Amino acid sequence: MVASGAGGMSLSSITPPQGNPPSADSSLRALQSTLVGAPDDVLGRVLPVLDALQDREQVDRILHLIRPRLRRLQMARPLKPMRLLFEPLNGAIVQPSAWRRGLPVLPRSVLGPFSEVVERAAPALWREVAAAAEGRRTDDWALVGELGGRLWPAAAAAFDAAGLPPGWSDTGLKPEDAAPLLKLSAAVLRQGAALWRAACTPEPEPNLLRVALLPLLAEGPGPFTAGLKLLVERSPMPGTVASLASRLDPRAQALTEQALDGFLEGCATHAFAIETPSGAAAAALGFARLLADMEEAPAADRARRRAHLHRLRQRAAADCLARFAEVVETSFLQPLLDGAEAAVLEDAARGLRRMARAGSAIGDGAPYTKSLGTLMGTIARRPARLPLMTAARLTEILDKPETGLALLDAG
Amino acid sequence: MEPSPTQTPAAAFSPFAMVTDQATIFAERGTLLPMTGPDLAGVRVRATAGASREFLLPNPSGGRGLYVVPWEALAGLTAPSLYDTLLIRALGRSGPPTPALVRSQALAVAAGGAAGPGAETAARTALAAEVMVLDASRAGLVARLIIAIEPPGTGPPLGVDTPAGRERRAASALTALGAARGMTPTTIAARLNDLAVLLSPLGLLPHTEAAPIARGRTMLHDLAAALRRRLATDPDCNVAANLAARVEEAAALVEQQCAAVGAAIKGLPGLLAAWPERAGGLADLAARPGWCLDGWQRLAALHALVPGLGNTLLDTLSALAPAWPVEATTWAGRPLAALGRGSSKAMCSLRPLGPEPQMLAEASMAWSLRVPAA
Repeated sequence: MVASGAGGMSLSSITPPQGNPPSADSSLRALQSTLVGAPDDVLGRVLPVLDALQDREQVDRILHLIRPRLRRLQMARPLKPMRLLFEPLNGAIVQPSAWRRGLPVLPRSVLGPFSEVVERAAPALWREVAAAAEGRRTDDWALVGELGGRLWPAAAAAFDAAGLPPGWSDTGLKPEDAAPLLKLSAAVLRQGAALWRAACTPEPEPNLLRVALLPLLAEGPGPFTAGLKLLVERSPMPGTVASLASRLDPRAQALTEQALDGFLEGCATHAFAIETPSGAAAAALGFARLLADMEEAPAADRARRRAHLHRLRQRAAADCLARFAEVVETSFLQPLLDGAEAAVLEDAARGLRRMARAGSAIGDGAPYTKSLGTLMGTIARRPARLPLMTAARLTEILDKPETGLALLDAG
Repeated sequence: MEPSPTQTPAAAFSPFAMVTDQATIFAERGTLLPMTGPDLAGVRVRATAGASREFLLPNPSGGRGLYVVPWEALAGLTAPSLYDTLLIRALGRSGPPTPALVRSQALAVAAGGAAGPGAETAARTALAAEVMVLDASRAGLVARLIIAIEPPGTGPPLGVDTPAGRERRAASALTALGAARGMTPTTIAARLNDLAVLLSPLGLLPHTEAAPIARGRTMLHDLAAALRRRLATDPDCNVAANLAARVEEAAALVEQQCAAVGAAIKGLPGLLAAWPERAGGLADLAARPGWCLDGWQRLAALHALVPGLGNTLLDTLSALAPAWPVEATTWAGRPLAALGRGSSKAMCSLRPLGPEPQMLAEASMAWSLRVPAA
């Protein structure tokens, strides 16, 4: 069995039941749907199992629906040459169904044929990179930068010289679609190393952004947008990235704003509902910081941006509060009434405290304060023969040490 | 409770008196408290002239010196946890604070659940181990007494004798010693028990490796060995070299004090006969290893908690290394290199460790309980 965290989910629970085997499609859909609802910790444990499977096409289909979440979580994956090759283009890769001719995006279906182009053009380098990346993961950012620094320029040169990539007919695209996509990829990969350096800083660095983005702007709006998307999606401060990018050049302003609007459209808060209490709290805190950062981002129509952010904040606040109420009931109150062990109750209390703090950072803190107050009242009545010290500890965690001490002293 | 993201500003303590890092005697330096509140790392406690307690807080600015603060003020300016407050209350009801007293009170408070279920289990385990160590210490002293009193060849070696046989020979030894010194066997047995209580924390007798001082010695030697390994791969690392020298100096001083206790109990029959007169002196001697270890186990516990021995951890450990009071040179009978060099920068130097308040709290609990933090 692979895993079971607070979500109580394991790989066995996402494999088909015994008996009449379901159809491949229904199994796939069930698996996809389970992964969509899986908490982060479960996802983190299932992912390596999927990554170890040989049938990449099948794995791609399974991961299809959770790719945006994987990108947000920046979960480490095995570092393979193909994955390394497209790291700088990650912001521009879309599902084939979302691809539209003329947009600066790459359908995922071209990644295989494009890899083939690079492997054929530079087989020795490909093998070297594969050997150096063996057993390493994508969160080894220094290694990605080092190996990418060799692979990306070679790949750009290969794309510049390439005709129709091998296996193109499998992509479902027309032959004339290949050249613009190769051109876009080559332009971004030429600046791959600079983009990677800019993407790996914890806070946006103006000089690194300039070095990465100005050459892309010179290549055209498409490469600039594709590169900027990577930086916006990877940064915890996308608004600051956009502010800096828009000041680089007058041509950058409109493109940056479009990229930011696109990013905002993709912001989903449903993650609060499906993660563990701690995961949801971390996601909510990150989202609160992101919203604050976005308030300062450039916008030609400030009123429209503000309204957009307001809607996002309201939705996030509602999602967070709903998740909090659910956790109060299922992870704390019920176990409390069932006489659960102190360790279980303390973990749940910590999760609730973090969620309350995160939720208050996004929206109104009053409902959280009220709910925690009610909980502490319940604890003070010590249901299910709750030991006094456990009650004091829970009160300390949910509120502060003085409140716990007062409960203890009141006996 | 989650640690607060900020610490109390140093200016808040300016109304309080400040003392230098250099103490004259160990009791003046105070005993390090295993506090879990994020602002309370490195706080020491000592008795005042009026049989009260005062607390020594490393200068939060990172400069030298320690603020002398009463608990009520310290609690108001920092964020003591429930466990911290209960520990201070317990110490307030006890005698002058010593490392042994702080440890026993910390164990008792943690065993009551105030530091959470994990610490409660660890504390209960540690308390159970102490009972076993005390039993082993008693058995070890009885064996020594039998060997000292019995004429050679009286019975089989004690290790292969039956429990009943050992019991009979112990009773005979107590009776013989009592008769020779004009005392009842019960009096001798009570004195032997007192001696076992005094010695058991040191772990000097067979099968007492789980004793707190013995564990502390092992942890200190492990830290010294880890520092030497680091130096073997990085000979130019001055921080590691200096720290290794200080840890080894501390380990040697602890060993020396333990050896002094070992020597003092060599003539066991004479010691038991003169017990009331010699008890005080031996108690003082037996307390010395604990005083010498005080503060060092926190380094060893932190080292055990944080993987590797990187530069950040080295800097932190160096800053946390306690200063010797002048009394330590008297005990050592030689000059000590680390005299007066202390941990005034301990709090700010922990910043680079990341979630350091939790880490330090864990380390505090670990050294307090003398149990592996994992």
